[in-house]
Amino acid sequence: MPTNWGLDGTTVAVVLGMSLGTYAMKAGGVWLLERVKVPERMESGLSVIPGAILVAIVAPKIVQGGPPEWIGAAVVLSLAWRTGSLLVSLAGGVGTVVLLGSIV
Amino acid sequence: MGTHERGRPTQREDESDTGGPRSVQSVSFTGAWIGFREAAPLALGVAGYGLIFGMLARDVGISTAEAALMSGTVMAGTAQFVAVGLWATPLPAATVIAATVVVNLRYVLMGATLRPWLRQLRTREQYASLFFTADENWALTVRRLSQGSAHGAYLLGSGLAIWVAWVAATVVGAIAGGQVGDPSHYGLDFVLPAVLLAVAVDLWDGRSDTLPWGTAGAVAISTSVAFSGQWYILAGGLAGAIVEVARRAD
Repeated sequence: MPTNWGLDGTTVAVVLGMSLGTYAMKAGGVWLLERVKVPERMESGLSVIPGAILVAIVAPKIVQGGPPEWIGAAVVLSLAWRTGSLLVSLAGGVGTVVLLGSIV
Repeated sequence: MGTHERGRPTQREDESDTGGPRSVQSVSFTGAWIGFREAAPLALGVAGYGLIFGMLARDVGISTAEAALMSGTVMAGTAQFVAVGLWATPLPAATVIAATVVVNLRYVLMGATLRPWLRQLRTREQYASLFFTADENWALTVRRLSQGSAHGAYLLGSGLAIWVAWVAATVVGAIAGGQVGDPSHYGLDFVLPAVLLAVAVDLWDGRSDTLPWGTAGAVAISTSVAFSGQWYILAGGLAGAIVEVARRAD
């Protein structure tokens, strides 16, 4: 099947709708905070959101994975804790998952 | 760097004695380049998903040019996979767009957390940078913030690395079709979880994080089991924040 480089009008319109909707979400948080004063007691909530979101994205993925992902996650955590290097943690974790995945 | 020095971005504003640079440098080539370089390894994982996205888009009848346009202007992996899953003839336009927005709701929260740092940039620079927000470079940027060093163009530069990989891989996947292998064979599907975990270790601020983070994880896991879709991220993040606010109020 040859590569299709064509552009369909309806498809382009839907794609642009998707990009506008996505951008509204990406920019929406900053836009809102510029207009709404966050009460002081809410600020502590806002400050834990980065960590909470990280955990919320990762936890289900790890739990629903298998032993390679569980052990890979443990390797990442311990490497990150000891070395503080993103690259080392990443390489160790991905390497572990590939290695264990090929055995299992 | 000692554990006690790991602070959160919003706390850092009030800490004038940390010694780190408090004000964000303006948007510069150097800052963008640092972001680009640091995000390059993560772009490998993004490219793995981009290949798959290109293939799937081709399978449902999206042309190579249309797939590239979508990756270039939407730049939100999960939402694009969901869209392709909903793709049909005739095209359910409203459903596809609504699903995209819902899947990307988490970005409202994620963008908000970058605000203490972004607000020192010009409005135009803020909103241009935000376009390039993806899970990967958001995590990198949060990490940079917590270290007290923030180049104004970091989000933009790291986002560009992700963007280039995402768009290029989409085109390759759409052209190559089914000849591309499964990225999980190369562990590429573990790149994002690994990065997020490593960044979480960096952000860990001691025992006081146990309650909000534990709540976020537990709520996310149970939500992901109970509901289909991406609600678990939003639910977990919000639950963590609510618990923290309640605890501080006591």
